[in-house]
Amino acid sequence: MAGEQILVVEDNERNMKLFRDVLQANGYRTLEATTGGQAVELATEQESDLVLMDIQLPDIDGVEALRRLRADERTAAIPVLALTAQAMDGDRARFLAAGFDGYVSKPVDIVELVAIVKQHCSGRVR
Amino acid sequence: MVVALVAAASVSVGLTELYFSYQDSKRALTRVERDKASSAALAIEQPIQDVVRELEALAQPTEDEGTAGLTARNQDFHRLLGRERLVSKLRYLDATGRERVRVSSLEIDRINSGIDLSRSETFVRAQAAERYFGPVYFQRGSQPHVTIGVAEAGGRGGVIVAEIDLSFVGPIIERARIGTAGYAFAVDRRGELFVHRDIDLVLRHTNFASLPQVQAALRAPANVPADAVTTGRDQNGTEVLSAFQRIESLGWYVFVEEPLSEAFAPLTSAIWRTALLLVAFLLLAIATSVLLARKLVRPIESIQAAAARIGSGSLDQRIEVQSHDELGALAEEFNRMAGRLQESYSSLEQKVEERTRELAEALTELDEKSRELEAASRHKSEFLANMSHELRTPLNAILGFSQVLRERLFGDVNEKQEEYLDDILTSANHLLALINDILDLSKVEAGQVELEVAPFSLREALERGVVMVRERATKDGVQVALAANSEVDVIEGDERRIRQVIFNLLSNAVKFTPSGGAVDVSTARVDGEVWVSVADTGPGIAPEDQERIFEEFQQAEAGVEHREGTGLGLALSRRLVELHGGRIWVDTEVGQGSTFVFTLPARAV
Repeated sequence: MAGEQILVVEDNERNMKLFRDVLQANGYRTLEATTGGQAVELATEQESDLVLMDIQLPDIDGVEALRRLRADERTAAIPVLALTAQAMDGDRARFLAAGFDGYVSKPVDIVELVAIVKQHCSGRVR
Repeated sequence: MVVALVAAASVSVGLTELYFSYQDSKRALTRVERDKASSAALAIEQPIQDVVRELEALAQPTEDEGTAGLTARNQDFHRLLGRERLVSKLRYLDATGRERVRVSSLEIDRINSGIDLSRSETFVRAQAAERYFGPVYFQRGSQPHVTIGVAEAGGRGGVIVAEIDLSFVGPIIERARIGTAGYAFAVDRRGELFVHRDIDLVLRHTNFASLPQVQAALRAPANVPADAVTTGRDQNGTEVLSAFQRIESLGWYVFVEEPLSEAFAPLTSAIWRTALLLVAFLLLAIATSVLLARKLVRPIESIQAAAARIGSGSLDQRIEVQSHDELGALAEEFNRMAGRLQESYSSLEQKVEERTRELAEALTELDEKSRELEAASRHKSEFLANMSHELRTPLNAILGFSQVLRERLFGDVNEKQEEYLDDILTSANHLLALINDILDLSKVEAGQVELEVAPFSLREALERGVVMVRERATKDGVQVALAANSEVDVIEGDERRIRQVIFNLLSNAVKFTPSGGAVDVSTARVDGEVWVSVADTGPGIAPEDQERIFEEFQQAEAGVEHREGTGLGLALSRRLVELHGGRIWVDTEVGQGSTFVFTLPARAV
């Protein structure tokens, strides 16, 4: 495994646990943030290869966090996937338009999630 | 108008009056002149006629033809001369025209002078006509005289010739004049002037026959009325009012004249007076008509102006006409009308205001309702989004962990555990499907679904639907066949929604068709619509369920038995088809299978 570091932004404890376990079980390292602000902070402090961004967060939402990441040249190039329970009509298009590199709706199929993560990380490594 | 009328009337009356008064005064003046002339003529003729009678008395033949007779004549002559101061000389001519007796007031008597006067006109004419009046002549240059010849009675042939001093005529003529500039004169039958106040004219032996009035008088027959000539000119050419009287016996004419300017001076002043009166009357008439017009027109104008103002909207306008005539009544009526108009207008305005206020209130209410509705709608959609989010979050954990276990990410699970995990996953997926359907239905009902209408291939959508259910169908031993009509391919609609409907119908059909059965999908074009039918060989649906199945959470017996599906699929399908302007229904009989049909308006390409 490449051992890429993935920043998971998720305010739900159990879902965080699920993503952490699944990712680590697949050989990824994880960084964890439960708020948007924390996510931006962590991303600038430590190098991440991919960000899985929840949208509905206690402070700033995922879209604003993405905006800040893109605004900072140190973090501007990190791919960010929206990983959200906002799965109504038009949400996918909305988030892709906001600049996310991908969109995964909750509840996630973990097989599908791992495949997508792998796709983005390997793309980056290459 | 009135002024002009009054003026015309006044002027014509004035002019007529003037004309008649001119005629009247002319007539009156002429009469006065003629009277003067007549009396003067009488005064002149009378003494001369007296003399003539005396002479006729003398003309009786004497008994003695000799000297005694002559002496007697001489004495008679003297007596006459003494009696009649007019007679200045008397002569007796015998039948042969010789002068036998001559008696004069200035000369000594001559008896039997024998002077032959047989050729004198007096002698000849007197002998012929018994009486002869000679022309006027002047003695010593200025004293007018006339010679009268009277034939001797008894056919003796002698003639008595008298010279008459006409000095007495002067005062008579002088008395005959009228006015200050008037004058009179006398002419003989030839027009020779012999008495005139202007003695120079007389001395110069002026002949007046050339003056028009004199000429006319001389030419006129003796019996023509004297007033035939009324105007003429004097020797200086001045126009004069003239009247004359002919002295028949002498053939003389007495003229009484007055310059027109003076004669008509009273008339002129009368004209002036009349004109002045006329002007005054005119002014009065004008003033009166103006006053009358004001009295009449002012109120009318006032009414008119008020009417115009009322017409332009000032309904509080009233007419101030104080008269008690028809105009006053009209104004009063008008004011009453304006009052009523104002009243009804203000009540109308009030009503309009009321209605406007009511309308505004209603609008405000409506606006509020609309805002409330909008807010409600927004709240609903926010609620739906939140619900979706809040349901999906725990589902994520449930499905995720179950899958982790099921995929044996952290170690093996036994058969029983795997079975349970499958149960958990199935239930959780069912729950997810429910959530999705409920959300879809809610959105359709909230009017929040907007179709993304575009041309798409219905045939392809059907093929994909068949592909999606084939795996399950094959597993269940059900044949799925698509018999797409070549006429039906690209139509307009929201592809994703139509696919949703197709998948729902197909999965229902497969679900309810027992092994060995078949599902046939076909399309057709009917009356400008596209029909899609999904026919199965399932158990069919009881009539009482045929409508119910399109309602939320209502499933037929078979559906309940299957314990599969959300109970929302057909309800959602119906909503989506109807959103497209189509219909959906089922043709079914228990035991004969079911055919679900939906139609779409063929906005086909």
